[in-house]
Amino acid sequence: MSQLLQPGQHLDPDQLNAFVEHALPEHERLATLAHISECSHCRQIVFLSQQAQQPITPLPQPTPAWKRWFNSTPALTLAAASLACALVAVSLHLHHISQSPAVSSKATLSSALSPTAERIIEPNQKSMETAAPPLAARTKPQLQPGTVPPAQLSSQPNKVTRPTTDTLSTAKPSNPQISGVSFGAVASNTNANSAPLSPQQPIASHNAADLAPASSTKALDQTASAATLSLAPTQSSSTNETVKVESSSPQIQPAARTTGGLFALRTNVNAKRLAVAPLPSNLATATTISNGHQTLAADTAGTLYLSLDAGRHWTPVDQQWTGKAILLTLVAPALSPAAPPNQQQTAVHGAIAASSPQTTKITDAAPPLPATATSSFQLTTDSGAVWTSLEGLIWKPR
Amino acid sequence: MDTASPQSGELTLDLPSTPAPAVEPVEIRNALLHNLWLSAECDAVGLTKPELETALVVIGTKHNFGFPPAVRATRTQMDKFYATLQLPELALAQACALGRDQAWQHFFARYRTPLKHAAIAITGSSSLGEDLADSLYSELFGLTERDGQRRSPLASYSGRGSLMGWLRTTLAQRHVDHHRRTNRESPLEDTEPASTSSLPITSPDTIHQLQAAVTAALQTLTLEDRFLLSAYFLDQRTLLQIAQLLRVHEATISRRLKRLTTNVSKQILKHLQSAGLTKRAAQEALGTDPRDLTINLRNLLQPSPSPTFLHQTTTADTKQS
Repeated sequence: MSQLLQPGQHLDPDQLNAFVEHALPEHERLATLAHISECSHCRQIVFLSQQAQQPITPLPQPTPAWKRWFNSTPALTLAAASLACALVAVSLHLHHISQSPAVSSKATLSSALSPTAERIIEPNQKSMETAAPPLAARTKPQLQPGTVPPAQLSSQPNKVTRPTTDTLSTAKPSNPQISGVSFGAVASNTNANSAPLSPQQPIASHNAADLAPASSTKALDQTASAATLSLAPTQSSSTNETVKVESSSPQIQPAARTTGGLFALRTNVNAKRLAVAPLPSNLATATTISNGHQTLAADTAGTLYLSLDAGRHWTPVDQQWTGKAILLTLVAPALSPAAPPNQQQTAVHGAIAASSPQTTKITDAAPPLPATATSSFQLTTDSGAVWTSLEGLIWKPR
Repeated sequence: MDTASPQSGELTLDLPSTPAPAVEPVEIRNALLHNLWLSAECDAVGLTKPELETALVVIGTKHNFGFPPAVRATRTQMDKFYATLQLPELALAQACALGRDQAWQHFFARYRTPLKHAAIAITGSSSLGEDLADSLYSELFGLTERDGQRRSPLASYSGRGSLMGWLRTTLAQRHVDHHRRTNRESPLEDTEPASTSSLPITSPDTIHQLQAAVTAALQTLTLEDRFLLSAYFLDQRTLLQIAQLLRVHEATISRRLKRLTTNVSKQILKHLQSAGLTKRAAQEALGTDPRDLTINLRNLLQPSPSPTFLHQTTTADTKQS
């Protein structure tokens, strides 16, 4: 078709390269195009040169031995993948099951504490999730014989019948594995995954701080004051007491309940407290307590402040006592008068109790805790005097 | 049958448009030569001004300063042509061709690794690529002599394209030549082309008319259309490869190919009808399947009965493996 296709007549590399790089004038480009359209030899050179111009793709790396092993046995790969999927599904299912009782149950410690718990916990669910270790793992090493009342798991997951202190101090329960135990604000989050509790632990002097790790307790004490809440007194003559967990507050997020626990609640309270406005005196907060609607705080000078909007605005409270207010607690008024200070009064850290996502209603041989009872504030001065107030403005000596 | 391309120093083909020296070699003005000498960094590679001037004049005269043969360039156009050259690379190539050590040091420092990578990319093998690059080094250094003089292919570099591109093209050429030489030495049955496709054409007259129609239709194509047909249907190049070579989008190549095959089909039908066939007979001659037209194009466009280089490479690789 063209005499350019005669053997031995081909374009030189300079011409072909100039064509590839579009450096030829138009008349030479057309002539070169005419040649290479008919000359497969030069066309091959052009395309090879262009191919070499592309960046070199890295050579495939040798496959690791374990990958070759899997590649040689596809069935094994499939089996491993299936096993992994099954493990994930089972773990998710177990995780979901572990959440379910806590989600559905709402321990009511007292009706007055529920709103506080809801309001405090909700904004910081995520921080609680990450910061709070499981309660059982933290409580077990801290429980000392004779400090925590033993409990027996009943057939109903939310109803726990536990022997009294005297009974259990001498006899172990038939089933020491406690599951789903609700014990005030602290034990309300225990579930089927909880570790067995020691049966030789009395109710008296059961404090939240005793159940938390030392480090976390120390951190909490730096930011939160210890408030004591009197729960239903445990009758020494009774043989059993029943802890009934009821659902009452749907606003609480499941995440808080799953990781709820003492440490988590404390962390949440601390985080919440960090978000409140500083006191008008610009002094550090020495102690604070919240009762749902009202929040009381005392600065390091002993001045008391009241907030009705969760600490965003503070109003100073006229000092009706002598000395400095050093401790604020929350007390259930119907229970506290009859309860001996060391045995029948279950002291719970005020902040923890107020922020607990689960409150516990205790029914036992003793008169049950009135559902409508409202807690009152209790103030302790540096001289040891104790003052009480229902709303935080008017204080009366106790 | 195509033969291997000539060896180094013989790779010159005077294209019809490539002019013979139309004018007498023109000397370059001293001021311009000095500027060109400076911009070419000739001092670093040991190239003198007279050597640079000689090289520039030869290149300009050979290519008629970028103009068609009938056009005579003015001095200003000559100066512009000189300025458009890749002067530093041209000076390096000329200095290497003259055997300057410092130029070779620069050459090795700049092109050793890229040349090796290009050779590996062309051959598709690390060992073969290194062998190809090493053989080119010896050739570039001028170990071969012609008429008692050492000749280096670097002297043929004109500076119109990049030196690296020239090296790549030279590598590709050497690789193709090597493959054709080794392929020619293989047994006959290995190189026997595949049997021609059996077209559903029974009448020899119809075949003759069809070939004449296809030839006439192809002759009306432009150069670029021919190149598209050859590269796509004969060489089995991808749209992307063709598009990169022509610097257009591959979708453009696809559209052009589709339009081109349609036009060629119409042209062939028209030629067949003008030869006396009815429209139906012409369509039957072509076959209703347009791929039959492709097969006809392959048989007619390929002047050599031997398969293309790509097919040879593929066949050889398959047999080796």
